Amino acid sequence: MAILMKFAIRTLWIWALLLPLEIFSQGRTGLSEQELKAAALNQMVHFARWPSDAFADPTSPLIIGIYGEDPFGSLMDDLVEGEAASGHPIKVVRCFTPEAAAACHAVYVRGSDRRAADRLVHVLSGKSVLTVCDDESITAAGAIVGLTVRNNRIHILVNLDAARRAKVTLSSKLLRLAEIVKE
Amino acid sequence: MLVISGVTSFAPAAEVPVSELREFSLEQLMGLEVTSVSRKPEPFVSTAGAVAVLTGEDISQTGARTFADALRYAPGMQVARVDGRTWAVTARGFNASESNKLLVLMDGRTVYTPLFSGVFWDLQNTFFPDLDHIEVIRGPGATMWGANAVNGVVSITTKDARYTQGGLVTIGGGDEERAFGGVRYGGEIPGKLFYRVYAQSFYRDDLVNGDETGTGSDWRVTQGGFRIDSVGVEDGSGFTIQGDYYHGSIGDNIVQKSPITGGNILARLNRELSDRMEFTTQAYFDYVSRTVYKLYGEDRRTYDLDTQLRLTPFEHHEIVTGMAFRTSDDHTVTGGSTSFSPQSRRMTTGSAFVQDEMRWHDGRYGLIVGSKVEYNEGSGLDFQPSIRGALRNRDSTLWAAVSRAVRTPSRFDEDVRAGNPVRPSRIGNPDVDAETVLAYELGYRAQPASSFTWDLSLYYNDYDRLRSIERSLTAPSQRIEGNELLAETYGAEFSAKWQPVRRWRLQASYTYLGEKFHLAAGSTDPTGGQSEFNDPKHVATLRSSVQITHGLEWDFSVRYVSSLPHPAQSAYVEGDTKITYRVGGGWEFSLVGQNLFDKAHAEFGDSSISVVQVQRSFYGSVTWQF
Repeated sequence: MAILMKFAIRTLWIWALLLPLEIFSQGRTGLSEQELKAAALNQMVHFARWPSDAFADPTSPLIIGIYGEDPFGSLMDDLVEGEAASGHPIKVVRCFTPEAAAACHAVYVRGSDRRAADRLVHVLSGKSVLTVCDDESITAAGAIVGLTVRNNRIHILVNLDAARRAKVTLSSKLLRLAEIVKE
Repeated sequence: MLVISGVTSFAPAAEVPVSELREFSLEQLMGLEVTSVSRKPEPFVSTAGAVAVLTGEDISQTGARTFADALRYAPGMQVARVDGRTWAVTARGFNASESNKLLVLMDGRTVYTPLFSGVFWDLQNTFFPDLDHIEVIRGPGATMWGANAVNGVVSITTKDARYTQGGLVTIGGGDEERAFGGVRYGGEIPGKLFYRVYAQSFYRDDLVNGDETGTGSDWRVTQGGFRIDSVGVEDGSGFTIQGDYYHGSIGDNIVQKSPITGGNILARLNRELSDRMEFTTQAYFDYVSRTVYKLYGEDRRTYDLDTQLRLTPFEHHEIVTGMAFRTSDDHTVTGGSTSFSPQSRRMTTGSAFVQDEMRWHDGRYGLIVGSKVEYNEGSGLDFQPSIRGALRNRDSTLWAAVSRAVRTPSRFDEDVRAGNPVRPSRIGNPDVDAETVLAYELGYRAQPASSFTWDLSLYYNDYDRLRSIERSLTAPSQRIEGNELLAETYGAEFSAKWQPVRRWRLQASYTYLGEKFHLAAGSTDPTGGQSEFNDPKHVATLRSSVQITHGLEWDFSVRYVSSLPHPAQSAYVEGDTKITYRVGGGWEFSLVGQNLFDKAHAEFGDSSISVVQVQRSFYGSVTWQF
C-alpha cells in the first residue's frame, strides 16, 4: 500500500511540474513531404509518353508501381482513383522484385535502401519504365526522375540520358520545371 | 512481448483532403512549402519515451559484426567486452559480465535466459544484411514487455521477407574476423507469400592477455534459417513463420572448445477483426544447449504463447490488452565448481496486461496508463504499472513517466552451489524476492529544422531488494543470496543528429550516470554490492557518415568510455571506420577498421596482465546481390 501511495504522490508531482509548460503552440496545418511527393508522382505520368508497345490497347491501364517500402500508405491509391492519362486509367500496385517492377509503366523507389534502389535501376535500365526516385544520387546513377526536397520545396531532377535509353519521352513543360542532371 | 512497443505513438496530423491535393498542378506543387516530414509526424519526434532506433543501415555503417558491438553506438547504452565470448551490456547502470536488467528480444522471441537472468550475447546472431532495425528503449518497459525489462528493452527485428527478395552472397575476412560468409535467397509465391532462406558461418580470432599472449577464445558458429511472410501481414491480416538453427564452438584458455547449439521456431498470426479491433497471437519454441567455459551449462527448452488485442472502442482511446504464458524447462550440467540444485527445473510464468493510450486535440496531449500482472513461482505475483504523459507539438514532444518494474529471481539466485560441491562457499536462496525499481523519467525531443533532431532524457531510479550476498546463518563461512542491497541511480542522456549538407550526416550522444548503493540495516554482505555494478560515469559517441561520390561512402565513429570503479579500469577512446564502394549491378566492396586507436585495450577489468584485451583489427568484405 505504501508503495502505491509513493507512486501516486510522485506521479502527481511530475504532472504538477508539467502542466504549467503550456508553451506549446497549435500545430500548423500543411502538406507533408510525402503528400507533395505523391501528388507530384500522380502528375508526373501526364508528362511522360511511352513507346506504343507499352500498352496493349488504348484503354489498358497505366500502372504505377511502388517498389519496396511504401511511404504513401493508401494516399497514392486515393489520389489516382478515377484518374486517367491519355485515356489510360491509372492504377497503383506494390512490387517487391525488379522483375515485377519491370511490368509497370512508372516505378517509385526510395533511395534510403541504396542497395535495393541501385539494383532496381540496374535491372530496369533500357526498359521502358519511368523510374522515379527520392534521392539525387540515384537519379545521377540512372533513375529517370528524382523527386527531392530542397529549401523546403519539392525539387524535380531529370536524367535525360536515362530517359533516352528507356525510350520514355518527357514533355518540355516538365523539363522546364526540372533540373537536368548528367550521369 | 509482441511487436508493438507502448511508447511509440503517432499524433495524427491535420489532413488535407485528397481531392484538394489532386487539383494542384506540378508547378503549384513545387511552390508549396513542406510543413512536416511525413503524413504522420516522424516517430522520432512524437515518441514519448527514451527510445532510439538503429536502422540496418546504421549498423552496417559501424562495421559491427555482433549485436553487442552495434549497440555501442546506440545513445545511452553501455557495452564492454569482458572476454572472447562475453559482453557486458546494459542501459542506465548495473553493468556486469552477467548484466540482468536489460530485456532482449529477437523478432518477438525473448533471448533473456532464466539461468542467470541475462543474455548470452555469444548465441545471438543473424544474417546482418536482412536486419531491419534494433529498437533500444531505455527505462522500464515492463508494462508492455513484462518482467526483467527493468532498465531497458532491446528489440531486434529482421526484415519482412518481401523486402529480401532475390539472392545475396557475402564473404569476407581479416585479422580478427578471420573469415565469414553468408548466402540468402528470397522468393515469392505470387499473391500468397514471400519467403527467404539463409545460411552463414564465421570464424573469429581470440582476444589477447595484457602480455599479448592469446587467450584461446577463438570462436566459430554456423547458422541457418528461414522466414515466411504472407502477403497480408503488413496490412493487418496475415502470418509469419520463421526459424533458425545454429551450431558452433567457443574456445577458452582453460579447456578445449565448448560446444553451443540452439534453434527456434516461431509463428505469428495477425487478424483485423474490424476497423476497431486487431488481434495478434504468437507461439514459439526455443532450444539452447551450451556450456560456459566448461564450468557449467544448460540445456533449455522454452515454450511461449502470447496473445494481444488492440482496440479503439471510443474516440481518444486505444486499448491494448494481452496475455502470455511461458514454460522454460532446463537441465543443468556442471564442470565441478558451479552447479545448480535441483539439477533440472521447470519455470512457468503467466501474465496479463492492459494499457490505455489516450489522445486529445489531434494527439497534442497524450496519456498512457497501464499495468502488467505477472505470476512466477519464484516471487509470486508482481504488478508492474506505468503512467506516461506527453505534450506534443508539430516538431517537439515533452514527456514524463513513472513506472515500476521487477527482475524475477533466476536459477542462479535460487539454486546455485558454487565452490566445493560438498561444502559450497556460496549457495542460492529459494526465498529470494524479485528486485524492484520505481523509475521517474522526464524527456524532451525536438526537430527544430528538417536536418536537425535532438533529444534529452533525465531519470531517477529507486531500486529496492537488490541481490546481495549474505552470511549464512547455518554455516558461518558460507554465503547465501539475499535481497539486502538498495540503490538510487540518476542520469541524463543526450543525443543529436545533424545533416549539415546532403552528403554528410553527424550523430552524437552523451550519457551521464550517477549511482548510490547502500546495504539495508542488518545486512552481512561484505562486498557492498560491488559485483552488481561496474559502470562508467560518462559515455560519449560521435559518428560521421559521408557520401563522397555516388557509391563511395566513408563512415567514422568514435566512442569515449570513462573509468570503471571495480575492478578498476581506465577510461578509453576508440574509433571504428568503414569505407564502402558500391558498383552498379549489385556489387559492394567494403573495408572496416575496428578499435583503431590502440593496438589492444581492456574494457572491463583491472590493468593486470590477465585482463583480456580487445585488439585493433581490420577486415574486408564483398557482397553481391542478384
